[in-house]
Amino acid sequence: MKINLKIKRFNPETDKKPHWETYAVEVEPTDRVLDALHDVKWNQDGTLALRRSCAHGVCGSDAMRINGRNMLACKVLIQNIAKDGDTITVEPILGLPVVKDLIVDMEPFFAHYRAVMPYLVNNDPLPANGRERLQSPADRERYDDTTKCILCAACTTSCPSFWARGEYVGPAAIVQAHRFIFDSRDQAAQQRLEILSAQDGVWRCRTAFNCTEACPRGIQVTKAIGEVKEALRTGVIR
Amino acid sequence: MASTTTVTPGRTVRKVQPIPQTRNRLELALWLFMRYSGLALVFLALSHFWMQHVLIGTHEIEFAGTQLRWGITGQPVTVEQVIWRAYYAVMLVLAVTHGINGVRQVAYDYFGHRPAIYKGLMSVIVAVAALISLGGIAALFMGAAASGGEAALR
Repeated sequence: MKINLKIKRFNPETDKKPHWETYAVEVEPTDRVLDALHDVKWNQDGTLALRRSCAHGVCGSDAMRINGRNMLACKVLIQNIAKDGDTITVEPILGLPVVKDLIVDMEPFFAHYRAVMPYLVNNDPLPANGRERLQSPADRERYDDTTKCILCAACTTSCPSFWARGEYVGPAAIVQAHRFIFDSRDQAAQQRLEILSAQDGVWRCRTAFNCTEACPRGIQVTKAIGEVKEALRTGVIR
Repeated sequence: MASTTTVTPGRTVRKVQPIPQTRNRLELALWLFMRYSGLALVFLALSHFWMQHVLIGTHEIEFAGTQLRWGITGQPVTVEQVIWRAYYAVMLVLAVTHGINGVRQVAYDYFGHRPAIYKGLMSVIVAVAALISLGGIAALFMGAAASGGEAALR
């Protein structure tokens, strides 16, 4: 089938502002948007810049705005979003500075990620047998959903609060904080909750649910944010 | 090798200290206030809508009806009118405070990084809300006509 890929292009060396360019691409219905982008880059216009690494929905490199929604280009089948002759729009994720074409500067996103201490803190001595710190299956299950995050930024850059104010820590960082706050082995929940209770923490979330819709891993992002708010309200992590 | 560490089955419950920063506690309190006032306003606004447009009827709404509920300026207030004024006082206070805090959130979203504009904007919003509230405050204490409602209808 034939589709048109309408891509938002921006070259900082020659362009003052981004512009759209359309490419006709021959694809299989079961191809992914990433395959169509590869066709453009490899056969039509080698100057197209995009990020992708594993190309199988694990590394989270190729989050982009496809037909107005944040998705991973490597996970979206053409047949699910277009019919023969249709046009698919592709643009960089919003809210982060565009470096070139579909590539954005992820540094502000990772700065928020680092701010919530996304690592296990446990100052107790290691178990006597020298092996791992154990926890019950129920304790492990508690934060299972938020372990799935691949830091693709699809959630944070779909959030209207983040678009308006880049200082907002954003859904992805809260998901990462949730993953450790609700881990029974962790001992830094207090510090993380204090960070998230600031004005640019969880209170900027207005439960728009864009993040939950955008997450390519199916994480219940808004629910996780709600659980952090609940922990702040009650002072109890359960 | 058999592990010697035992794990209690079930889920661990942990407690954390209350948020130490006053500013952040205020944000939590305001967040809760928005939830509760929003819920209360659903019932208050719907009941008011139902009373005006179903019980009274859209084409029968007149200032005289309002005056009957609020009381006439200069005349003694009945118990029923006090209850009506309390009903409207709760609705108006919640609507204004809920609204202002909502606008504060949006203003902070867009202008939080420019404190001068943010503070100026909030001052204007609070001043306008206070001015509008004057009519409601006058009516609450002195009867509907004191709000200037009757004059506005003429």
